[in-house]
Amino acid sequence: MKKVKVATIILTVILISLISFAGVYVQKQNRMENQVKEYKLGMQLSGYRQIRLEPVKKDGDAEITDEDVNKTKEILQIRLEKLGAEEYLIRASKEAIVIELKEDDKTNYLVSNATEQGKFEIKDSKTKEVFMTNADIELANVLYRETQNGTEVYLNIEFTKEGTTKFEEITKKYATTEETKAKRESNSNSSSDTNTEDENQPKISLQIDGREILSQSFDNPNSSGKIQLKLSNATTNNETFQKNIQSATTIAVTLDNEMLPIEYKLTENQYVYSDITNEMLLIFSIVIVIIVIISLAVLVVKHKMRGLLASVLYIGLIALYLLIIRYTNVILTIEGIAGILIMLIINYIITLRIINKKKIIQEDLIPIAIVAIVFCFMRWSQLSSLGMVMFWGAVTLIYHMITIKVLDD
Amino acid sequence: MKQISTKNRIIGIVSILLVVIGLIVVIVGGFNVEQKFRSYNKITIYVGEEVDISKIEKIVKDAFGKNKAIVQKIEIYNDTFQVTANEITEEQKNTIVDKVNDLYPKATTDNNEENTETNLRVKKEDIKIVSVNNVRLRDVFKPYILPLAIATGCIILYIGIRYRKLSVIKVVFGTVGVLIGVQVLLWSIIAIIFAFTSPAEQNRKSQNSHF
Repeated sequence: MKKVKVATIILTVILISLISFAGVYVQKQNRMENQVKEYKLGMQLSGYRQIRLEPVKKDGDAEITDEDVNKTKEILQIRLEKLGAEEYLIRASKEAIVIELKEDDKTNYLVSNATEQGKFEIKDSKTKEVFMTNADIELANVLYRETQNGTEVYLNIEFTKEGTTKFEEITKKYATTEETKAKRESNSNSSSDTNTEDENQPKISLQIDGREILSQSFDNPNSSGKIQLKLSNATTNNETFQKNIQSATTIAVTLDNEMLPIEYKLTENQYVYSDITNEMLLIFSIVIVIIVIISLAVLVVKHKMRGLLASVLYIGLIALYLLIIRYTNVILTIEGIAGILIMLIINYIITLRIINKKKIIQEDLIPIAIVAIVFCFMRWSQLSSLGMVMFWGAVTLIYHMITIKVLDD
Repeated sequence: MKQISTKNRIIGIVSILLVVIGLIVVIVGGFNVEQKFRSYNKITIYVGEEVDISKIEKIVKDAFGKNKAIVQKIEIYNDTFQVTANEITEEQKNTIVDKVNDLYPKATTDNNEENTETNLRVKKEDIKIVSVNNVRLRDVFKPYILPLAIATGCIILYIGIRYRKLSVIKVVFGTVGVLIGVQVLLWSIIAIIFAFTSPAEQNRKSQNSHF
């Protein structure tokens, strides 16, 4: 019975090892393709998007100071984090800002939105006189409202105390005229498409970076210090709703922080491959394999049959661990690879203790579990990679401890 | 007083020595970080046909000699590459451009006009040496501070609860001491390794990242 158990385990290990290390090849269009999922590599290992922003030079502009550069960098950092960037590096100088971003489906969105200057203005739509700017904004965020027709997305802007007073005056000054109200009423009665406004109706224009977001007059004075701009029609489609939220979030994040003190233009936007090539990774893997083989050889020499069995099970553990990492979409970074090595060392130590019939104190592993769980929840991809790798290492450790119990029989 | 074994004594002495050497290295030469975090110069060369990066690396290595330079592919078309180094001189740039043109000559036109200017894939005047500033180390460490603080806090809390029958303060301080000690030792080793695996000495002090 024990022989059958051992044989079954060994055959399973061989199968998993073949799948993990060699792959499963299927013919597709006259060539053999490996069906086993590839590793997902992080920014340091695969490559990154490099963008270069240079200041727009205009006549009469003051010289750029170190303070401007530091402020720009801080604002960009806040924006990138709020827009969901998982990994980035910013290099700032008076000549240019260079940002390295992880390449994924959010990169284009980050590149186009995080680098906007974010200049907010409320101005007279005819004379272009500016009444309110970024300094009058206390906060900006996204709200949504459920209606019968679906969910509407709003940009909510709250003004400072001074801004509230200014805004109230604007809503009084740019009140909807009686003529416009009369036109609207007659239009709604006749259901025609004619112009609902008096041509002399004074209006304000709300602009962000020179783009008009809305142009309107006000039916009633607004002393609440808040304005809610409807950015999308009601929708029941989840995908559309998510896109609307994303667009609104972009504007909210830009307005919620100060505007960039310097206007920049994008002069470079390219994907750069990592200097860590596949050949380097292969050499590193070979070195690790040699170390593992030597360690397992020591086990076999010292403990004979038990050592051989433990070595086979250990190889199965590595194979299963690497398969799990691939199929759970763990993004491998340098920290992640370090995490894999740590888990392999821990598993080897546990294997040794089991072979030597020493007690394993599970509580000793709890600090590692704490680190893994905390890091799993971090957005920064290097930390989450380490956390996920250690988490799955802990799961395969449990498998290893179950299978290696066959040595006790 | 508990006797410290010889093995533990040796480990302790070696650890203290490493920390002291690491401190000296950092005080004298600064924390020497890899090129990735330093300020650098770069040139981007669009060749117009698929390039063999290993041949380009050889050209760059010949142009830079002992100084370290990194060659990286740009975009997916394999026809553009970037060279980054602590410093790139006009001479080095021109040498690379000349050798790339020799390696990837442009086909002459049908009427066999040998206009040397139009027959060059890469023109020296089109290649600009661009400088890029360093990354501040505090920006590199910033994302790690909160998670490490949370994880350390949870571990200390767990150790305090697990060993509550012993003196909690002693256990907690001991744990904090071990955590800090391990971190100090690790960073000392990193500082020593980086100090001795850096590029040419004359570039090092001017290129250290600022905290």
